[in-house]
Amino acid sequence: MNCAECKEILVGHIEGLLEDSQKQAVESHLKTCPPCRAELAQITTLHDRLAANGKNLAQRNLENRVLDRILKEQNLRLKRVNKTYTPLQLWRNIVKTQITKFAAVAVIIIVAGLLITFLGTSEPAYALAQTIEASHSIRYLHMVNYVASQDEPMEFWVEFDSGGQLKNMRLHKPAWMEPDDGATVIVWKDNKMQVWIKKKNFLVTLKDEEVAAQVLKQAEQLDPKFAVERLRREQELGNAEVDVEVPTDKAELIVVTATSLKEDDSPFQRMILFVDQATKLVNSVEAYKLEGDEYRKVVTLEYYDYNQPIDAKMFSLDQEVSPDAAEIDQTAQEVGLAQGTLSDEEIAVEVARQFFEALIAQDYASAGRLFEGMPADFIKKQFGSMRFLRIVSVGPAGPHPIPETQGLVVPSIVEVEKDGQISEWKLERLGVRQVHGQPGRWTIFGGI
Amino acid sequence: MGTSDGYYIERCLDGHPDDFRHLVRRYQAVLLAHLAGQLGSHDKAEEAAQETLVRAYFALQKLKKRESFFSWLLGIANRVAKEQQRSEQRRSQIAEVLSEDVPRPEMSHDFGLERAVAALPPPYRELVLLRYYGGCSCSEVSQQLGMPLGTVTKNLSRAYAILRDSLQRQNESEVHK
Repeated sequence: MNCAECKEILVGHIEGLLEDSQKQAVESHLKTCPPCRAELAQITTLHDRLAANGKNLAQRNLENRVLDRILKEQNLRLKRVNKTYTPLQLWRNIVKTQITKFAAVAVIIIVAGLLITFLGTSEPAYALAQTIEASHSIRYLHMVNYVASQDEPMEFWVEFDSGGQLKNMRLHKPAWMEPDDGATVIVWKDNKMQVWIKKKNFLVTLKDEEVAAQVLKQAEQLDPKFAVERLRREQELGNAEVDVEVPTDKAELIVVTATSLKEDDSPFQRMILFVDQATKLVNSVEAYKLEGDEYRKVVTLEYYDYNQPIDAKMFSLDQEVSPDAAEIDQTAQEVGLAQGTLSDEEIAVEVARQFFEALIAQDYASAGRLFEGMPADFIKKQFGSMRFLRIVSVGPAGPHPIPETQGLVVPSIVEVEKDGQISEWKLERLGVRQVHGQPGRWTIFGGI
Repeated sequence: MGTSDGYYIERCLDGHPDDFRHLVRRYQAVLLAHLAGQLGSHDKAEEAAQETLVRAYFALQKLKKRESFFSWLLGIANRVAKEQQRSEQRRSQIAEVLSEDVPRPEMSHDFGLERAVAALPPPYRELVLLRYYGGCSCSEVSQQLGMPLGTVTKNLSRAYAILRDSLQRQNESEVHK
């Protein structure tokens, strides 16, 4: 081997990539060639220097800082109102929103309920009463709720009246809570609830005390004053052990750790409250689940902007929703059919029957009125591609498979013609229930 | 090198931002070395590296070829570095007007080496960054860059020569001072 050949494979030699025969050849050449040995030494020095520098830089911990920045930035982006509008998607999905909307409400309520059930857990030394009292003077509050591994939080803005009652509320539901609808904004004001499904450019106005009450209840449950009250009660009942850590540094937060003593299936076995020393207001709450021997954090609830007045615009969607958004205003029209003297099962069957009759007559406006007050063109879009020939059977009505819907199911069979083919369409889950906010009236709901 | 960049990118896009951590870990030294040489200080490099990674995270869905994450990341880092340098220049112009001292670039323990790496022609630089700062073996580098192993070692050899040359010149100019 000569020097040129040696130099060519020297890096391979240092990197340990050479085959045995090559390796031996390089080594025997090096033994006899001082210049190549010098070259090897130089490269090795540089190699080591690079490796050491690389190792040094790898030790700098950028991870947490980068992740923090990402989470903060994501938060900010979420707060910015999304002004982009996408055209309406499949109508069936829109119909489904009626169900997902309520299902999602149920989910939030469960989460909030869980949080609260556990928060009802005990009473520590610094006196939770101080926090309860301090919280009573709160008029405005911004709450951010991170759930499990989801990066986008649920976010609430609430305004209380002088009596501490919830007055206005805005809720941002992230896309992961609404797989079909995407990010959704709910605003509650003047006893009216508006739901804006951005992705579908769809605005639903409800005057429904029941649904609104659920949403409001959930906001109330996250309200720190009630949360802490619950915690105190649980402690009094001996259901939880509460440990309070009051740091000597007044700038640091009081840490209230409540651990469940009950061996039950509580959703959270540990809650940690972080309380500001000066104001006694809750800064954040973390909820943990016991998995094996470890408490794993599943929910983080952060409280911001105590008593920072919230712009009234936040509680109105007027300026945000695109002018071409499809609106379903259930407060402006009578939806469905009046029950009269019919039983629940009878009216449910009647609604379904009239709905099919309207479709047979291609009277999409009437069909829409029987279907949550949907606009005629949506009904046409969905059903216009087929002709409804006759009703084969409707009913009898039975309980809906999803009890949360509080509806009945009316299995039906209709004969339809599509692309010249006549067939029977079996609808096994046609749901009918009372119109929200319109007592005594019944409507078709959910996906068909 | 273990799990591919593509897998973590997929996870991030799937709503698991925490998995971005793995990519940060994998490429932080690469970015720091690359940026320190350009910006003249570790503090600035750290700031720019963070900014690069955050921007990359929010632009992940725009990355068409998952396997090119590394080169794409360096591209973002270059833009961030340029922006920083521009605002730096503006600041130092103002500082000059106010006849305040413009801070000298902070010398890290091996700033000379980082400067030399930053000055390498791009193909060699990528190679050296991946090998020494990305913790890749030569065969991993060959996979990542889609380059035969023989070419990797040959180019590394060439990169060493250039590095040695520029380190030598740095030494000489130090001596002259």
